[in-house]
Amino acid sequence: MILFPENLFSLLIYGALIWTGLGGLVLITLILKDFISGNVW
Amino acid sequence: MGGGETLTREVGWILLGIFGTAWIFLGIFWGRKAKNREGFSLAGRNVGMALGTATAMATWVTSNTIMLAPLFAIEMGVWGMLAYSTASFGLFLFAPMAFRIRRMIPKGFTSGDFIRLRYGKIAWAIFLIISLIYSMAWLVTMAMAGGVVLQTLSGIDYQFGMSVILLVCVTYTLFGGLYAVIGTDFIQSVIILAGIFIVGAFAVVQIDISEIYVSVAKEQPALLDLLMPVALLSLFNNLFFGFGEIFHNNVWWSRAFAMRSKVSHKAFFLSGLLWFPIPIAAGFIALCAIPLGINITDPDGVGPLVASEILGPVGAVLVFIVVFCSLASSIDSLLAATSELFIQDVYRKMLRPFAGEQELRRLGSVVIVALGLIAWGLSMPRFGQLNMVLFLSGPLVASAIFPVICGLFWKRANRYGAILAMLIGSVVGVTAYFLIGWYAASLISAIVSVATVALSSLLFPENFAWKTLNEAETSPSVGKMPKGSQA
Repeated sequence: MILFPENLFSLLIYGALIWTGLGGLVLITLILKDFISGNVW
Repeated sequence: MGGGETLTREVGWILLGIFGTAWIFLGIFWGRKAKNREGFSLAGRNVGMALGTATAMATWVTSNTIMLAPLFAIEMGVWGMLAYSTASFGLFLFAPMAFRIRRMIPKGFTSGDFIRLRYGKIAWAIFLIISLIYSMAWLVTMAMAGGVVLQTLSGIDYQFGMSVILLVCVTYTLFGGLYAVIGTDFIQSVIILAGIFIVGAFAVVQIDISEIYVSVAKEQPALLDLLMPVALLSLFNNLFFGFGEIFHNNVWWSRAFAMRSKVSHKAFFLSGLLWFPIPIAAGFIALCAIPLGINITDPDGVGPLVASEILGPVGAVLVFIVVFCSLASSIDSLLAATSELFIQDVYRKMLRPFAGEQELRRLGSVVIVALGLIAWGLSMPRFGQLNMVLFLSGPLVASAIFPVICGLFWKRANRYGAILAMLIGSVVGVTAYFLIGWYAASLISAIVSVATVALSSLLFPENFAWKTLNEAETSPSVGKMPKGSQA
């Protein structure tokens, strides 16, 4: 049985966590941008 | 408290009360913007990038994502998490479709509109049956998941928790329509992303990733197997299930119609990017059960159980809120989009072509309440594992993938091929579900479907006139009644 390498496993988990957190920031940035330009709705 | 829960019933009820009240209040607040039918059903067709991205992402982050991703991780390891993440590819690939939908059908209301205009009434009827079966299955699995997670986390009885979640979603969708759905989706998206990040970050601070890896490699090495056959098959199955769900369902078509034409494709692509890491971030929590030696007695509740074990009451509160948001963001969308499918495709197109604004609004309210009641009735007897219910509808929607894609981009796509593709794909896929397993059903259904559409269209090509799709309200329309008809 060939296992996933440990460093790839770590990269996957840490990467997913950071990516998820950044997603929230992207949404907040976008709504501010839309709000300023009057394009929310 | 009793069992494995770390929240008291009182805390659970307080959280339900706070968030339930907030969604209802916000729903009513945003719903005031809906001045006509287009406002209520499609938020005025003017939704911007931020709200568009958030609503597509939040709708796709279902309670199933939060509950099943950990289940996938604990049963199929790393490939299980990655398999779930491939569901985001449906959002990526819907981006060019959304662009085309806005261009070709500028005045459309539902996915049913497209199938009817492109392939005719027989295909339309089959498509509606598939879509309605799937939508109800989705609604029921989410209501069930809500009841399960509330019980796991706080000991609130399954029936009570499930009922309250449905009641809240029905209430604010009823008052606010798609304005309420999209507005609340934005807040729910931010909470979901922040909550998953915080729970995951706490977990990796408490248990080192190396420790998790070593423990899994020692106790259950198959979960780290690079070539786990079932998991690899499930990856492709999930991919096609995701395509089928997104491409056919009015939940996403209604969003494509609701967004500004210039942002719809960008918003769908970005929502896919934001969605992709969520099953991995939510799923890996379950792997922490192995180094912690947690005994999993209820596979459906593995994620919340492990999170509350690792993080205690704070983690339990966070998971509770995230699941509540993911439930609400999907249930409200389904209620709004499915009721629109009934009103536009069944009532307006089949029964009352000249129905007026007031009549359609009233009927919309009735249908939303009826859908909530049906979902409630079907969810009361908690049956089976969640993924079984969900994946049984997989082969049905997978059979609609290629009829939809070919119909949008290939003028030679043949209507009889589309009909046969949906029928044969569904039958073969459901058969494969029982004979082989859920992990192959959607894949087989999609393969049969594409072969049928392609073969029939090459042998008997249609020469479809694209302008037919722009119905442009020339047929019987709201507010444009012939003399003598009644609104």
